[in-house]
Amino acid sequence: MNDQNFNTNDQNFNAQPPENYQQPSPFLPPPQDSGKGFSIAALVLGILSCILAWFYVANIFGLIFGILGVALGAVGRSKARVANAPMGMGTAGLVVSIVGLSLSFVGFLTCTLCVWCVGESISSALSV
Amino acid sequence: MRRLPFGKRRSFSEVYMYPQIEVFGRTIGVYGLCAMVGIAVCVVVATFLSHRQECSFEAILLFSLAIGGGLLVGGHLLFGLTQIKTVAYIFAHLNELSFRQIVHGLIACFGGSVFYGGFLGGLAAVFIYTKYSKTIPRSFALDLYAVMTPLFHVFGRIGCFFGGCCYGKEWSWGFCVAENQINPAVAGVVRIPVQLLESGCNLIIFLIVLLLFLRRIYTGRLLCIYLLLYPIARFVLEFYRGDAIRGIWFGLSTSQWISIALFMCTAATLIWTAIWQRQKRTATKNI
Repeated sequence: MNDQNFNTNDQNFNAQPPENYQQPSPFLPPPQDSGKGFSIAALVLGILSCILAWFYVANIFGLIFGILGVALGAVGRSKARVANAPMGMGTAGLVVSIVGLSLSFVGFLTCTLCVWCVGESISSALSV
Repeated sequence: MRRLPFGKRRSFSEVYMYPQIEVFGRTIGVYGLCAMVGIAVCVVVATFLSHRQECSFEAILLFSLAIGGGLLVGGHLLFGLTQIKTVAYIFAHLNELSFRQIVHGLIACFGGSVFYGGFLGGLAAVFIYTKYSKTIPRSFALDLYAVMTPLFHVFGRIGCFFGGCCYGKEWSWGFCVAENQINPAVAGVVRIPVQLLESGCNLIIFLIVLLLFLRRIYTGRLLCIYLLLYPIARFVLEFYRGDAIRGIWFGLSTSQWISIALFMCTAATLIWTAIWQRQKRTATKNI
């Protein structure tokens, strides 16, 4: 059975190409990037952002990760749209990053509320 | 609940400041919450308005993100500029101050935020974004920014009011603020609700700019309309603000000086553009 297959493959290998056959051009455009890497990165950064948003000092990093996640998620989603690839991962990354960014932003501004508390801390930090 | 020492003055109502609220045992700043709601509303409105240019949601999101970054950086930098004496003091005494004092001092100097700094930072972000990304044309992006800015400011000022960080002058009418945790010294006095007035002014400016945007009047120059309207409102309202921490130069606050500069620059730009267009039209007719 195996020998037969081997022979068949051999025959196929030795078969001549049709007359109109053309060698594929080496300058074919490369396959389009579906942005999957961007989408996965957005999802990871979004999840990290959501976690870090809970902690007071670390939410600064949550804010940065959230911004990066939203940017990467948007890029991944638009790349997937151009390549006609599924956009689920990109959408998930974008949504999670937006949630993480929002939570981190609110958490960040909870500490640095406004001008007055900063002014108060100026006088306490330095006796200018 | 503590009774307020009203004295002879009467207020419309007693307002208890809520700079922070508790959600599931977690403290959340009301200012941050209002700012977040403002950003979300701005993104939604900008997405609807951008259908004219067939911009994708992702493009609007990245555009909003760029503006947000510019807003944060610009607002904090300008606040640092108003505290320039303290910044200069820190750098002049680097050897004498401890590391903790230096860090705390710099955080204190750049921790606050000024609206005009945020506005200019956002404007710079619009220019940078439209230079490197061709998804949104620059003139359309500037128009969109002119619509989004007053809309965001409506929510931002409501957050300021609840935060209790900035406040109005003592007045014969207004709100009597109590339980101001950030600045307890200002509580118990009837004050003009200057943040709410500014929020209302911003709402009116937003509606005017939105109407012009929808009717395609002054296309590409809507930011000039905003920059003619808002500085006037801000200049007047600054006289009714009771907090003087933002820096006073020659009797006027930093924001008033910036208001004057922005109004003059915008008026000069519009006049120059009108003259240039008239000359161009005349030259075309002569040819």
